[in-house]
Amino acid sequence: MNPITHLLEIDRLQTVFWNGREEVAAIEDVSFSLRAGETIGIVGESGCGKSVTSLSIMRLLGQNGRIRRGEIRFNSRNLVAESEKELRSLRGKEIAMIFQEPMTSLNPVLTIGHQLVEMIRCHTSLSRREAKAYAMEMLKKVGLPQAKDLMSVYPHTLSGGMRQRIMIAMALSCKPRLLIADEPTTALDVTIQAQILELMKSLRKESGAAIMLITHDLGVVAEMADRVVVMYAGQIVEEADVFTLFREPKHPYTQGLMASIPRVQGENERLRAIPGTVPSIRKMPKGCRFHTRCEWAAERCRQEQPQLESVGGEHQVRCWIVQEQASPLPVSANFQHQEAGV
Amino acid sequence: MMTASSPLLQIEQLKTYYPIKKGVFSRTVGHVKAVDDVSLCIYEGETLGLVGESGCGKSSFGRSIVRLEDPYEGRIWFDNEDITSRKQKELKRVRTRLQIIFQDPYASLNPRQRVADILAEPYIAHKLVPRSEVQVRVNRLLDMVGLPKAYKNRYPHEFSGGQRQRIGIARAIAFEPKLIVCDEPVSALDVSIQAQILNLLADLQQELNLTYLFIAHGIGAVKYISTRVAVMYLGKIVEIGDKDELFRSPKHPYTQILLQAYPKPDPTLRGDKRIVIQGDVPSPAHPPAGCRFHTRCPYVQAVCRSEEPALGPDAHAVACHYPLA
Ligand SMILES: Nc1ncnc2c1ncn2[C@@H]1O[C@H](COP(=O)(O)OP(=O)(O)OP(=O)(O)O)[C@@H](O)[C@H]1O
Ligand SMILES: Nc1ncnc2c1ncn2[C@@H]1O[C@H](COP(=O)(O)OP(=O)(O)OP(=O)(O)O)[C@@H](O)[C@H]1O
Ligand SMILES: [Mg+2]
Ligand SMILES: [Mg+2]
Repeated sequence: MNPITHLLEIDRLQTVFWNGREEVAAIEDVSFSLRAGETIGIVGESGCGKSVTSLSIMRLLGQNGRIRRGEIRFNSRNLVAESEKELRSLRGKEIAMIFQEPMTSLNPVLTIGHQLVEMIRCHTSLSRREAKAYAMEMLKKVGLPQAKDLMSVYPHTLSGGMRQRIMIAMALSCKPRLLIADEPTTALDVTIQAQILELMKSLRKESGAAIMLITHDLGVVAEMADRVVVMYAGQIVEEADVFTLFREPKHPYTQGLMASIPRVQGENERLRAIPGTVPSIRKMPKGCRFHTRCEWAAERCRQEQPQLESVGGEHQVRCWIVQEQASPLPVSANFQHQEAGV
Repeated sequence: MMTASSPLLQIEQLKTYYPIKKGVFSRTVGHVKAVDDVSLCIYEGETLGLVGESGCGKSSFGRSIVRLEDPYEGRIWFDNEDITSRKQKELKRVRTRLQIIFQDPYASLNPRQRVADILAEPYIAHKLVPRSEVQVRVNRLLDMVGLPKAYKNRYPHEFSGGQRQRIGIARAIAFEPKLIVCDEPVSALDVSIQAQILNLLADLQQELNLTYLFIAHGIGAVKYISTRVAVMYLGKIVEIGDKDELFRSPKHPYTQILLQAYPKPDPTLRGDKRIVIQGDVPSPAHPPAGCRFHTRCPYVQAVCRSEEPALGPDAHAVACHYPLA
């Protein structure tokens, strides 16, 4: 590989939470990187660790959480080792985040204008008046032309779509180099979602910010991402560029996810659901974490944990079956047996 | 097509209004017109999908049908019986044939009851099955919705979202109802679990000859499960028709936009020309005059601002002055 400078490199990250008796790992062995200007999509089902990954980057894990292993290099600085003070100056300025629930991240007792101005002043040397003018400029940019009136209203009087626009205005007001958007459109209607996605696209073009887009909606990923990371039960199970991932998903979980989406185009075939449910982080299955739901699972999958490995170029998969198939080594008898059965 | 069979449910000019109250005397100063003059039929054995944006009145419509809301005006005929003004006591008899399942199965299950008791309750309450047979029935229900019998003694919080929805479905089918209103039954579930529940609903429909009103805002799920589809905007049906036809050639601009706005799970389709409509859904307390969609419609003409278009009687009907070709 040619030496590409990455804006963000996450290396074998493990984040744990104290549950009163022991520390439980919410994410494990998470590694991926992001170039400047690139958009990476993080997909996976509820509880698989998407938000914990992004909160780890921001080091906003609360009292019970900590990064136990791994590195997060942003612009070649290891954020895991930085002081809280250093991080505070990065947050909101170089790395901004749109949180999963726009209502909880806006303060209900402060006006929109107050919150925007404070946020901008916190990270720039603008005067109050300048900050106010700049805040209104940002509101106009996210498609809220009535900026002047909006400055004096409280969050609860606004619709979900408007609140989300304000969150985006806030996040972008300090021209971050990395924008983390955690389910930015999940609570919104499709027509409003389309507005927000178009907005994010045009802002991305203008600012050149790298975006980490977290969602469980494969449609949103297909629309926005350059590369995709698929997470399952706290681990990355597949990573590829967006076209490769949708054309030839390799991991049985990714394949299952794709087969589960009811298609708007094309014929109605019976949906291929993934059987069973996601395991709890307190009781992870031995071996491959997906083996309890995998129709391909062989003995090795039940015993040994597979690693995330390349199956060609930048396409990486964490699956024994796929890796054995890709390698020139003889395929195990067990797998051939499985294949014949499908 | 099911249009040849007789309607199982017939709705005539249904209005469901919620009063807006103000002041010390709680005077009614206006109404939220959640459902505003809706007429439609649901035929035996079909699934009518109902789509539309948040707040357009889908749940109010579904809840009115099962009489969890009292209609302000209009008529509801179910199974050749006018149930519009049936008293709650008389409704008990109707409800064995007319059921509803909700988006959040957790909220609709009693957290202090074991699954076995939750499922036994309707049999005991309606005294339609001898006591001795109740457990047999409960086992059969669990079997039908794919829950292991070993789970019988667990409480709702010990189940995952998908499993809880299965319990909700089991309860709804206890009396082999004719019609089930499904109000966003999969919206709160993960993608892989959504597919399990959609498949289960489709299987049960076959097995029990069920009729569904399937409410959702996810276009994909509606396309998968429906026979016909109705599109709702601000309390009104703006288009209704056979699923394939409506998806192939939508006639209402709002339907067209809804179908386009949905991000397709295929990156090669990105950059497709799509119309993005601006603005939010107007308030149902003060709906715009004329066509309710005119404030956001990209094709709006003068007449749309003053005259309300009517939904025609056709099989594929649209309420628009200038329907798309
Ligand atoms: N503060 C916390 N304390 C303890 N456990 C936590 C905490 N935050 C997250 N977890 C656990 O970590 C796991 C991953 O959670 P996370 O919020 O990252 O999931 P997610 O992929 O973002 O899911 P969703 O799609 O529902 O937002 C979950 O099992 C969750 O219960
Ligand atoms: N009990 C109530 N009292 C007053 N207003 C209500 C009540 N229930 C619903 N409404 C209002 O009626 C309108 C229609 O609501 P409804 O819940 O039927 O919409 P919906 O289409 O089901 O939306 P969603 O997709 O968000 O579930 C909304 O404006 C809502 O605020
Ligand atoms: Mg999350
Ligand atoms: Mg609803």
